[in-house]
Amino acid sequence: MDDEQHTNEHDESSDTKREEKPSERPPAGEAVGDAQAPAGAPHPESAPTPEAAREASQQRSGRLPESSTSPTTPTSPPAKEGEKQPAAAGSARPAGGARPAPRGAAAPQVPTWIDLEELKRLLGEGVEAVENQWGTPVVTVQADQLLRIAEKLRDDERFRFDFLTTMTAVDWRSYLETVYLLQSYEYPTHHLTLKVSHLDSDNPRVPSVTGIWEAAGWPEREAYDLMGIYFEGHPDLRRLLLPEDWEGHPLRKAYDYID
Amino acid sequence: MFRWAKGYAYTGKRLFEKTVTIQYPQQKPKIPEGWRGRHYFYPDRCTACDACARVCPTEVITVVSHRDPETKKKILDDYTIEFERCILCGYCEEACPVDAIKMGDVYELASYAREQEFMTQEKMLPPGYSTDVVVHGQGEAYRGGDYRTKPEKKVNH
Amino acid sequence: MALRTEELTFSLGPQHPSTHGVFRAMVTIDGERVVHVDPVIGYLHRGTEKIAEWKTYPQIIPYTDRMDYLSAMLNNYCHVGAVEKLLGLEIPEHAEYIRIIVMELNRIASHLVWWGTFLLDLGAMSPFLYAFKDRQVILDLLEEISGARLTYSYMRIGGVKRDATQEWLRRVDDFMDEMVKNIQGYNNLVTGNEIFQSRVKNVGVYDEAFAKRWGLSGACLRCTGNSYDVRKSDPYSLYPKFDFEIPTRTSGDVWARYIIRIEEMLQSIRIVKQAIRNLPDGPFMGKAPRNIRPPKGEVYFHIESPRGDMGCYIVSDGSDHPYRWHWRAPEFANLAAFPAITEGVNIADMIAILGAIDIVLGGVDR
Ligand code: SF4
Ligand code: SF4
Repeated sequence: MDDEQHTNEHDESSDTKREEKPSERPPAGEAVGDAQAPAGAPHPESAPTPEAAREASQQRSGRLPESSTSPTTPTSPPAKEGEKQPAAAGSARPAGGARPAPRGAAAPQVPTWIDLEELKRLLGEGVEAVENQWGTPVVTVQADQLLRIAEKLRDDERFRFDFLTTMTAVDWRSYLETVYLLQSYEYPTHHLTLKVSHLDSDNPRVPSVTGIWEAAGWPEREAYDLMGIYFEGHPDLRRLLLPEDWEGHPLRKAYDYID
Repeated sequence: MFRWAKGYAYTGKRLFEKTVTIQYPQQKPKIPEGWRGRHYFYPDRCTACDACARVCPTEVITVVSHRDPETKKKILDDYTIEFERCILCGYCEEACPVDAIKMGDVYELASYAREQEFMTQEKMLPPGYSTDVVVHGQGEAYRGGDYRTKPEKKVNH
Repeated sequence: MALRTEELTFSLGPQHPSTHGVFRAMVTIDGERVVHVDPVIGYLHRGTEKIAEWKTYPQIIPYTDRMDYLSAMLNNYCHVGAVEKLLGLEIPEHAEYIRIIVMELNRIASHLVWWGTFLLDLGAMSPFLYAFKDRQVILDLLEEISGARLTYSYMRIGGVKRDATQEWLRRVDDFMDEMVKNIQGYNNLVTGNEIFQSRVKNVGVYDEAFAKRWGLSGACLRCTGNSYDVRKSDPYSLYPKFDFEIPTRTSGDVWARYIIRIEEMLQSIRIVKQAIRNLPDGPFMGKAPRNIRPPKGEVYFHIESPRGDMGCYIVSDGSDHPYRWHWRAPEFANLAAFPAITEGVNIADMIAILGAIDIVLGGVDR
């Protein structure tokens, strides 16, 4: 009992949120008071999975799917299923199904927060393509428009993408591509992927977005290190993960890592 | 004031608790069922289907086999694991349709040389098995040592 | 006459106990003040992203274990969740509940390690021992269900590897009760201690705008009053079904981060208890294709790890292995802000700030 008192005591100074709903926020001792299961009682309503159910068919499917033991045709069923999805939208997933709302809501097949056409119009010139990937709009922009569009995405009321989760690059063999995964602290369910595509493999140059999101600093250094992309205007473009004297960029597909 | 005294009281209380550590070399820890230790291999069960070798993330399992010319069945010749690169993920055990490779309860894995980490069938025999069941057919698997002599493996890329 | 001072550059780490593994910082100091910190990372870089391009989707799971090795269950889930999103798989509820139980247990274990080592940084020895004793119980439980102590590889695409027995669940439930008492004891021992408080209060202060600029997440963000937690803000799995809260503070200092993590443990206990009580019947493995070949496309899936917003970005080319596989490690982003936070602080405070970021170098370097 004592202990609760003293944690509360200290928290008061630094905590305003707690005071709003003091009854709900559990202090150190009582956190699980309301969520407590009848102590020690076996949980009768959630009877165990009967051994039988486990053993029968599940045992087989519970095994690891091996890559090529099963004879599969080139167009294997899972691939087909997946291709259908974008068209089938939400209707394929009834509300009462085995997978209830949450995952379905978190990953709808079309972006719910914005229409792709509208997005393209709002971003203005320099947008090469807008596509939908599992509910996330993927916007490919021209390198010289990147900074303007990035700033718009960060500041515009409609977007507020102030959280650059990470930045990476993809080697498509004939060209490189940088990928910026954006999120918003204000609208956490909004995702957007920004891309600059068709960078020359021999001399890839992209303007650095560190001026817009400081979070881009290290990921850009990492992309420089592992992919060899030069970020123009980056304040401190050095290798990050590999030693300074490393040769080559290991994440390139053409990188020969066997000495 | 005197909140620090509570800290002393707590430490004092914990001083008289039952110890949870064990005297390791004399006392052995209890290994739960299904634990992933070093493998046991049952040469008599293996059908040389190669499933374990294909599923292994680090590609350390080598299965050497030949086909019986009459029955067209595969016959195991040799089976080895380069244990120093094994990450004890247990995928081989899960993939095996006849439970011929099992994750065992051996956990003292240190050795003095890399070569000792190379697991032949003899080293992976489960307790109670005699070396009679070990198969040495035609053709031998890579037997450790120089990595460059290892036969080229198919890479799924 | 003003005292003439000179700057001194020294190397902290890479094997210094207070750097949590092999992290090295080139620190420039002027007297006791830190002028500039230049973190040097990469000592644990194992090229997981490159390896992943050569492995099939299930084969990547053991590699994710080895990144943020203190929360391997959550890493497993992040990868598996991304693949399931690509495939559009339906996961049985029973499996999802077990996943939540083990993930929250792992979160508590991870926070316990943080608690112990953070106080070790500040010079307190015994909390470390108590924390590891409790963590040991959790590791034993997870070992029993998954087969390994740290590198669980427990999640499978479509479900989990093994079912939880009733006996196991009961023991988890009992331990959760005990854990609540233990955390109370921790508060007695450390949280209330004035010396400790003066070490951490008003140290390493930053505001919400700073945290957003640097893309911080987890306790490093919530200490500034923002309540962003992926479990609530962008729900995944079955978290919307659970009743729990996101602890936040507004002071933005090390103390706030400390209190948030302590409270997060209590919230995780709440989640585990609810999950055990409401665990539905069903299979522990859903219908997953034997041969996993997701359709072409790219997907980003993120979850709340003990250290923040962890994400997995997969570019699939339709084959059985990813074309590009990128990992968003929360500690990587949080550590990037370290030089900015530590500018002008005392050396001793710098250690406290580093400890409060809660880095795991396996995750930073990947
Ligand atoms: S445990 Fe994993 S790494 Fe080791 S041999 Fe089996 S499949 Fe390969
Ligand atoms: S050990 Fe099992 S999986 Fe491996 S080749 Fe033999 S029968 Fe096949």
